[in-house]
Amino acid sequence: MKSFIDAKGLVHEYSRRDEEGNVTGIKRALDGIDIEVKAGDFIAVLGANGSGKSTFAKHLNALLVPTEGTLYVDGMDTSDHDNNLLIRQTAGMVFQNPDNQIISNVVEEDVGFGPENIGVPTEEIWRRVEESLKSVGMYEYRKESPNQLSGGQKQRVAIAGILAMKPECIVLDEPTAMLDPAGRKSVIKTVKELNKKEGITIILITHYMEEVTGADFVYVMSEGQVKMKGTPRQIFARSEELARYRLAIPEVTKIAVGLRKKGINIPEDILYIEELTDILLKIKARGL
Amino acid sequence: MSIKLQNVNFIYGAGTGKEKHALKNINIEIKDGEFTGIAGHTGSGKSTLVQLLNGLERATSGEIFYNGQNIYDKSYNMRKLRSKTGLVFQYPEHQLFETTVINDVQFGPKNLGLSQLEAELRSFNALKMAGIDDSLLDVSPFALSGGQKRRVAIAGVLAMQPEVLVLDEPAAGLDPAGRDEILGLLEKLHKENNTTIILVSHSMEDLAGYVDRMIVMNKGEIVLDGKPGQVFQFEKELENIGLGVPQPAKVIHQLKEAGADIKGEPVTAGESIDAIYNWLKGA
Amino acid sequence: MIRDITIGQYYASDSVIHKLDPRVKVVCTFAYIISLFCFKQLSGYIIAALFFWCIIKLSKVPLGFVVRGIKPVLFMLVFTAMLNLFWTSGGNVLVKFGIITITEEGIERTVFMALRLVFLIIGSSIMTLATTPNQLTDAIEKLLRPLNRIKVPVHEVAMMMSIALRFIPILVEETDKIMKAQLARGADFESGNIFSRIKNMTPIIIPLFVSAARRASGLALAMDARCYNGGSGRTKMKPLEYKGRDIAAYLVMAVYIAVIIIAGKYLPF
Repeated sequence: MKSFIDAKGLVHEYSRRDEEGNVTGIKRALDGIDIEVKAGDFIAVLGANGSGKSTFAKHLNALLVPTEGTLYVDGMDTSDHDNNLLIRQTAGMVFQNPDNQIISNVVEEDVGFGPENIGVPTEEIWRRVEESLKSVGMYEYRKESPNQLSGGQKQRVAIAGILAMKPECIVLDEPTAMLDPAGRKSVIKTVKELNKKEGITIILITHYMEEVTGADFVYVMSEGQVKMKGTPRQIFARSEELARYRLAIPEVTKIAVGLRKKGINIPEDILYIEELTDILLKIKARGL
Repeated sequence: MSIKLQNVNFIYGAGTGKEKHALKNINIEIKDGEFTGIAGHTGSGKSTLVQLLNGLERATSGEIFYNGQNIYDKSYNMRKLRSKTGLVFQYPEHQLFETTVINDVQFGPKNLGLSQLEAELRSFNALKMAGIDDSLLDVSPFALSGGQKRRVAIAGVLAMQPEVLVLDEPAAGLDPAGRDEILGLLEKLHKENNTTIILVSHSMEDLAGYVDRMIVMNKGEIVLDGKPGQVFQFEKELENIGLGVPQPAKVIHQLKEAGADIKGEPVTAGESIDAIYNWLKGA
Repeated sequence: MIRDITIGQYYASDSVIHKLDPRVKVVCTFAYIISLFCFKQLSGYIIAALFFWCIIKLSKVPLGFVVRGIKPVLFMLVFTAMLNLFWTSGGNVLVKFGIITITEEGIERTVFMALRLVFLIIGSSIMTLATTPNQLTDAIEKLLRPLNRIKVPVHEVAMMMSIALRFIPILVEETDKIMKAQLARGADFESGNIFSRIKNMTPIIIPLFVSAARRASGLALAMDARCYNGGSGRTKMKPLEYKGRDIAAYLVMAVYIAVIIIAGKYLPF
């Protein structure tokens, strides 16, 4: 099957320039990325600050173009400028700071901004705005000013703004980094639902390990390279390697790893609390 | 020495029809050398509370005593209070403005009226404590990485040598290693210099492993106050106000509910591992 | 203090004023402002005050909220009032002290000038309180469309205005936060002469500029990501069409102007 996103040897270099415009230094933010994503998947890209994960996200949206290598989104080459608008409709992007991506002072007008830009007829815009706001659970706030909303609500409005362009994929670049726990939960729940119910491909970029437990596949980035890949279980079983990339496993996994080190026979790839307690109760019943 | 709040109320936007009772009848005492965590979700009043502590906002009613002195007395020197309770705002790196790291850190000490030499000395020490390498002293603060900027900004407050250090979400947005570095720095300050620390956060995980005492706020009121282990007993209540408890505490609660006889109230992964291990071994 | 600025804020409501076509609101606000300079005597002020009092009531925006908009410009108001007070000659001299002369006419002009400015500020803030920036942009874009022919980038200018309006409250809040953070580091914004005070603002202004630049580049990316590509090929979610109530509003405005002019000519006071 053809992959929806296909990055091969993707390289991105930022060049630093002095006042006269001469290149004084080159920083390789992406260094040979190979990533393939199937349509309908929920993919997580993990990485510490400065690992290159946000640069990668911007490539998926053709906000940046490859210095070397290729990136295809739904068969479209991102380095071809003519594809920009189509790529951005196909793979919509949600950013970290909720305030810097809301353009209008009224929720519904903001959601309508994308469809307006791509020339959707008026009645169709209204239909899409209503639908999108409903699927992120923000319909009753449609007349409000974004300034009155909480961080989590603003991010859901931003997601609705992307949904209204009818994308096949949504790229979320650290969407929860500035939110409180309740906001974080609501955004992740919304994203998971969009993936399950509407079959939208999700690429979630984050450094919160708890958020990736539901992903189909995880890529770990560091220094502009993909250092690890696998299912969440496969990744979390390699806690020492993750620590080297400035990441940490969820606390519940930490407990399992710690007990195993003490000689308790318990799997290292525990993701959920219930999973751990079930196993522990069974071990206790059976006796050590 | 202590900070004491008596019947403190705070109302935003009085008389505009959009009033908000941000703090309702707060009574607490924070003792010298305590490491206190204040938890609450956005809008619970925790940020307002800490701004009262160094006089940036003034309580609508009630009294605040710093070392027994009423800070609302006419004769009380508010600027001095600000140097004694160092307040580090959320995203402190957004306040950097000088041309070099060392100059930026010196801003606070110089405002205290210290000599150039004394200000420089304090800044060196503060930067060292914050883990900033000497090679970065003359670099522009805007050229640093996110985590470094954050530590320079914290050093800017440390250099004023406050008796009480108040931090609003110091780890927000940092990756796990960056988070551990910042929280580790606070732990070191607390242990080595016996600085009183007030850590404001909505992350129970961040607070659990470090604080001696935890104050939980909701809708402008203090709803829980005690050791982390005691506070986390109220799992349902905490979840209802959008906070929840850290995963290790949850694991222990579920095991106990299933009848496990686990000793104590562990809150961190490390403590839980030991407690579970002892229980499994039947000790 | 700095959070009190209401100019550029939107106050959500479903009032008649909110529902009017934004072009009506822009045109009428301009007409209202011009009308403020069409009369000289007390009756004009009474009529103008009554008129905008009715508009405020109709808009369902609380009076306190509207009035707060004057606070930040109070300094400017006092300053112009002073100028008027001291530099108007003619009429009965009331006080003479060195070069300062206060005359009866001076007081009269001062009071009326101040009132005029207050009316002007409140009048225009009603427009922004009852019109979303997007609607405002649409209105200005459509009203100024003829200028497109002489190569004025009307759409771009309108877009910039609307974004500026959206970010004013955010930047105001940010200024407040930066100011507090620097105060916490012992900064002093209140003492010293005017030059040292301006110099003391550096710790606020630089972080504010850095933050504004960061927000601007973030917003530019977000707009790109949502396929923004200038004005061409854009459709409208809320296209502007005049309805019955808009025509009625124009009529009301015309009647008001007529009353003001007639009152100016025929009323004795």
